[in-house]
Amino acid sequence: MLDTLTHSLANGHGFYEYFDYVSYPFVPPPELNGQAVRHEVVIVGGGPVGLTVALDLARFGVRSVVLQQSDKVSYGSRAGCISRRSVEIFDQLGVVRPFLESGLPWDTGRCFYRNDEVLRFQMPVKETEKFPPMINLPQNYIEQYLVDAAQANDLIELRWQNKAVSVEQNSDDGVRLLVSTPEGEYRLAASWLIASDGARSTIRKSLGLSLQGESFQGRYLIADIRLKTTLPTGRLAWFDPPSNPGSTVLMHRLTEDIWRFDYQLSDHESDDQALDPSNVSKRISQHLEMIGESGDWELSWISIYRANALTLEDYRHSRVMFVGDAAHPIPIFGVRGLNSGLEDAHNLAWKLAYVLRHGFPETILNTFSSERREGTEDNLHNARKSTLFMNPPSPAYSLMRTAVLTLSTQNSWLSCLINPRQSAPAAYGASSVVLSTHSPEFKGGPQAGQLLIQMPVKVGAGKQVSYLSETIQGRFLAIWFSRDSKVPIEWCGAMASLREQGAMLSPCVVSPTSPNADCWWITDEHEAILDVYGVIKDALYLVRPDGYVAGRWSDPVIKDITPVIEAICVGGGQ
Amino acid sequence: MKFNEGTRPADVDEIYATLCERLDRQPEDAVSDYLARLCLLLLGELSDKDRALALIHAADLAKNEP
Repeated sequence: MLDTLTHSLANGHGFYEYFDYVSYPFVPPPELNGQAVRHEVVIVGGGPVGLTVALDLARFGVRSVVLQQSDKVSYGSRAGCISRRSVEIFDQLGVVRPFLESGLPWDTGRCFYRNDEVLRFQMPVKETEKFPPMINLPQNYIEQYLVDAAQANDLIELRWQNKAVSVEQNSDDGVRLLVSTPEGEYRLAASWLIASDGARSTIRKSLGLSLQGESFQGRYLIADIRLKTTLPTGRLAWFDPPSNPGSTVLMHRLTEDIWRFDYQLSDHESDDQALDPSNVSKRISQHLEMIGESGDWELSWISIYRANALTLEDYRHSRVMFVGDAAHPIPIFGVRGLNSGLEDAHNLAWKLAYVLRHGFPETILNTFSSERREGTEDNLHNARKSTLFMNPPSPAYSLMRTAVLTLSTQNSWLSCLINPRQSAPAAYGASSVVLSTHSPEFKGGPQAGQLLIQMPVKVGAGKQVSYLSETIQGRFLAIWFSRDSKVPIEWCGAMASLREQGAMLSPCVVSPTSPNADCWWITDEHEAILDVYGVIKDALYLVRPDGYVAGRWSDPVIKDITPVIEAICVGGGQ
Repeated sequence: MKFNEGTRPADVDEIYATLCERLDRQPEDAVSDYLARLCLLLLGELSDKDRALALIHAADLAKNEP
């Protein structure tokens, strides 16, 4: 998501329109007619993060109202790179198909200094992964696919042209919002509020909260163009190219013939000058000519971007939770904006749903804030480094960048400074739902607080292949790994007992042959999964509903670990 | 072992940021493209982060020597 300094010229200016924007009508809500309705969850902001929270809550049976200020999805490509983790989240929500059908997968990038290539990088690609490292798709597509899914879901009420004006909250009783519509204002009451209303969050301001961090001075112009070309999908970057001396230019193919251009503006260009379509066309034409693209192209959308690396101190304020840019505007370099917002959404949704549906204590919501703050700290750290390189803030930074670029072809160790440091999934420290990070008795594998490693699996003696992540389905997953296919009988009994107590827990076994237990079995004939999970003999992994490892034990003693699993899966870690 | 052999990228980042910040504190006419490249190449000859930081620190001290 982009915190744009100046919004796009949008359509109606003779620009090529590559996206068919649907205008959604205003439908008077019951509150406007004086009906008193109390909602369980209200989500302010119907962008990709807010819609993801709504869809995620709905799969747990939690109803929500989403307030969308506009009558349509946002203009332009904005956040156009979806990480593997984000695609996995859409997969968990059952909405991934259109993203895969129209998004463009990529895993490589090339960087040039003037005319010379100085870096060619490849993101990690494993055959065992279900999805590519990155998919390019303009944000208007992303939002539309999520809107389509939300509109088709009976548990989600999407209110177009409803603008949150202010909020009051009572810690015991929830929130009361003042909402503005084309037909007047109304009051909306809800038990919980999710603020996903972007970098200029009305909810944040209404509660008197402020962001802390760093705002960078440099600006980038961003533009969507239509260009027919055989250039491959991937990240292309030029530092100080002859086409735009002194600037940095980025190109990404987004979908079909739509390309995204980003170029750095100089200090002496005003925003108005920079946004003048004739100036934009000239600079893009010069660049396309430089790379040998002589075909026709059309401008579709332009805007200006200024990098902010900011965050709230806490993402939970009693009954209000902040997600995405409302909680933490992050520089675009490394594609951490939208992708970190989707991680917020997925982290929050299961915890709030378990509070509302499974009796978990509200204190588990504090771990949403602490875990995602950890994620933000890591993102800000990396995004800052990327931004300082992409957008040098001083003569010394500029000089050092030039030195790196000129020396990197002969000194490959410097190339890590040019690498854009693409977004990676967060890892979390210990909390009530992450037990420990110290487990030396494993030979590798994901530690507590890290994501499950994606692997293709065969269930039982069948041949149908699915993926480990597909086995979670919104529950805790207790996976017993056994190299000799022997499972303690008391483990099966303990798991059954926990389920009888209401634990949302799916036990399963990973073993080379059929285990001696009447439970769900993942075949691991060649012990590849056992190896990847670092299992020496027997081990137990407890996986959270969002795919993170809550804890793991080697050669576990059933009577010792059962109370621990019970505390997490029944009591939310209390 | 040289700095460029097996050094953690995080260390390279730290050295780079430190160098940029130190150069920022110098008068503009005292900082040149030549100096920036020399700094980077010298760092490449050192064995670890501590030595690299020590070099930067020594350079800081040296500029105050008569």
